[in-house]
Amino acid sequence: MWDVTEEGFEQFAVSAGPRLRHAFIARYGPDIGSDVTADVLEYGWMHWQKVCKKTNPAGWLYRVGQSKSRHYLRRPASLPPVRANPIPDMEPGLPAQLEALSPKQRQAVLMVHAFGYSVRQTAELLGVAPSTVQKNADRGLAHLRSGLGVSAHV
Amino acid sequence: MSDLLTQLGEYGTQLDSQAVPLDELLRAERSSDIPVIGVFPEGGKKMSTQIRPHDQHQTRPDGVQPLWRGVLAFGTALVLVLAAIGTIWLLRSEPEPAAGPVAVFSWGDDLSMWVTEAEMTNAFEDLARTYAGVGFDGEVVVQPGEGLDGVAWRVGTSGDPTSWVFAVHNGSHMFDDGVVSLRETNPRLPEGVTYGTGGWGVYTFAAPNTDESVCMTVEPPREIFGDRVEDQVYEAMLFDLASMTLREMGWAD
Repeated sequence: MWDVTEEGFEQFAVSAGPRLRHAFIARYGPDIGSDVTADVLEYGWMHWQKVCKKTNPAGWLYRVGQSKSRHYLRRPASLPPVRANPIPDMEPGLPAQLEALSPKQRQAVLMVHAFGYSVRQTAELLGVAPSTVQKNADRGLAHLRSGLGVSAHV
Repeated sequence: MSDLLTQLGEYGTQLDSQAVPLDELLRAERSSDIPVIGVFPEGGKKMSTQIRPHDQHQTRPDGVQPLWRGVLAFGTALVLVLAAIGTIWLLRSEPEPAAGPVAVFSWGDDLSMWVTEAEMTNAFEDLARTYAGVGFDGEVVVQPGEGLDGVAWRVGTSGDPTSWVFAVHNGSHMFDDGVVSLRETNPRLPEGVTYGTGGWGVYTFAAPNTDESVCMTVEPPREIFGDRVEDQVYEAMLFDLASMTLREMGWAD
């Protein structure tokens, strides 16, 4: 349970903010993801007296963000191109293949394999069962490998 | 080629750096020369939205507003007053809606990722015909669910929120804004409906005249709509659920 004070919100925001931000970036891309994160943090601040009493305030705000995202232009997530590669032979088609995944698969793949959250942490934030996250991540990776023409054991 | 997981890790770093940093989103902007918009619990603190300098109203150096601004403000106010009077007149002239049985079917915007609005409308109109087929002669409304995630429908007497029977998507989505607002329209919605086991196929029914919600697990499709191969299963599930809500209401055996 978080403290109802302003300090309590700030502690919560520092703790849960990165996860929320990554979840929205993974779902909507960096541009809309940033906007939605700002919206939910603002919502969290304005309704902190209510939100702080939730058993899973980050999950609550994630759902709020899903609703808020509808206020933005309806367009698919847009991921930026791969920049100059610090690692060899990075696949330039990776963003396009990620965009081609279903939103839930893309979100699971990016949360677990790009941002490094555990399956359990991701599931708790998204309000789904860990098995759902694992399944979406596995299927997403399989689609990526198929689309990029790479095997599971490179 | 580098391992896919390594590439994903690197791409995650790139994505992270291209989005607005969290501390910038969180920064309390207390600058006195840039007005802020929005109302916050404790004066003036804001997160991200600001009126930029070029948005600010221009005022003459002596602080007097130009005359045309006053004329414009008066004209706008006059139009608003006339519009309000017209709206009130129109509302008063419309007959009161009859208080009778009504079934409202809604679906969340999130479903548009998998199916078209036309497909969803067709599915729910089929569901509505099921109601008609068992003798439900009330009004049937099919509409997108404002703020809903997933699907939901409700049956009851219009004008009497406590008569509603809700059929709402699984518990993992219960704390979506839309469902919260459903709860607000029906204070007798049992606490139990705010929790579900999660996953597709688990639906919760809230019967208003009981203290317990009724949970029903139906054949869980894998990822409904995911591969577009489970539509028939989903359709069958909708009809099962429709029958159940009708039985709850005593409109079907």
